Amino acid sequence: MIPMTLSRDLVAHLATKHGATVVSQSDGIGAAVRALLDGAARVSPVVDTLVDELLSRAARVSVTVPTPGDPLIVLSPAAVADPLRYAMTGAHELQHAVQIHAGGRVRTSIDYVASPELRARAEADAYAVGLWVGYLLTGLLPTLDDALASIAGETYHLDAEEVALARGVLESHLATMAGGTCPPLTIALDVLTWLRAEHPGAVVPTVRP
Amino acid sequence: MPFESLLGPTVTTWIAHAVAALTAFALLYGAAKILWTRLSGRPFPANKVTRALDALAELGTNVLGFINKATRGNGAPLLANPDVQRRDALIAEMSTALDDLRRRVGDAPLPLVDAAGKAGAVAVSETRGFDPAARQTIAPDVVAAAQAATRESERGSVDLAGLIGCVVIGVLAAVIATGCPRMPPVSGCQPEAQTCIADSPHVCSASQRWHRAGDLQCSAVGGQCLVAGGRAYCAPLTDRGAR
Repeated sequence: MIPMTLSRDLVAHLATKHGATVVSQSDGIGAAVRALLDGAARVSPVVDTLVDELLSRAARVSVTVPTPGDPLIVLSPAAVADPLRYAMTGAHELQHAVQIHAGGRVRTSIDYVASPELRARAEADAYAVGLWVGYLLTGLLPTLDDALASIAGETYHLDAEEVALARGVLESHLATMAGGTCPPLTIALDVLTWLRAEHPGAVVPTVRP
Repeated sequence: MPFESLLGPTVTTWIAHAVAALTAFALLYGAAKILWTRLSGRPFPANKVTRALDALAELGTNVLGFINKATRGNGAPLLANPDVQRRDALIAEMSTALDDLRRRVGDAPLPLVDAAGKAGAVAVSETRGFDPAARQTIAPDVVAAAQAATRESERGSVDLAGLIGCVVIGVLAAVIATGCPRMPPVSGCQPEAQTCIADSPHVCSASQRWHRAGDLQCSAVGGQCLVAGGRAYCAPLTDRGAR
């Protein structure tokens, strides 16, 4: 079991390097967002239903929100409850932050919201980062099933065709991992570099570069 | 997503963008009209261009309103507006009653004619009948100004060329303002196939586009893109698999 301090330091390092703000739902900003949603829920029964669904998912879903400043990452209670999940989820969301910086806030948001194909590809890359972090810290080669179940769930509203694209991207990254190489993802490489520099003993498998 | 299943992702996306852009335009246009009225103290100008803009502002959120604005000039009744239809019926009824009254007073002197010694009643007495224009108590130029200031004056057919121009400008503004998803070009690849392009693994989507897996080239992670068993991935440089 890795210590929580390692996970927090890792995510803090990545957030600083890639210009993102990470909070949990119990922090001030996260609580403010939740209070805002609670208030909106009182507007009408329709909104109440939507907010209920959103809040019930918020307990297990972390999000990265483009803002006029740095991207805001709100980690779910489930993500911050366990050191390994904290590291995996934090890295996943920071890959989204990298995508936002690379593509621009507005354009990346349009891509993600308006195109299920681009959403599927973005999520597949981000899930691959999370799987890679889990692999580095446990030595257990990940399988496709868990990540694919999440991607195909209700959260992302993807049809079978887009899930097939996500599966292809994940299979490619898993094949790279199985060959002992870091997947070609910015955060995946940064995590490996930081762990080797700061906690070399924490990297379980033998991997390149 | 029933709409997307029914119409397809591209059409759904375009409709969503168009409605969002038209709604945004309606809000901005309404704000501009209010601002104009407040600052100038005069009613917003009513001409072909503003009528076309009025119609366009209705399009995103009120299609019936758009049709009313665009076609009202031909005298057709407003669509789905029972109050206006009732008003039109009352006007017709009052016109009939007025015609009846005119016929009656045309046959006999008005009772107030002889008694009227006041200025202003002379014109009425001279017509010896019912002349609405002579009994007009509001100056015609004032009436015209009042009509110009009401929405009634905005109800007229719009210039088709102006309307089309506004639609084109609106669509272009929407595209510029919101943009479209940056999809890779359609390449005609086999869905779910994988390949290496520029030292990066790529996966073919159902729309036959190559999507890159990852955001780095394989060389950045000390590897080289290879295809083996139909799978594209970053293999170690020492792994010389089939390409």
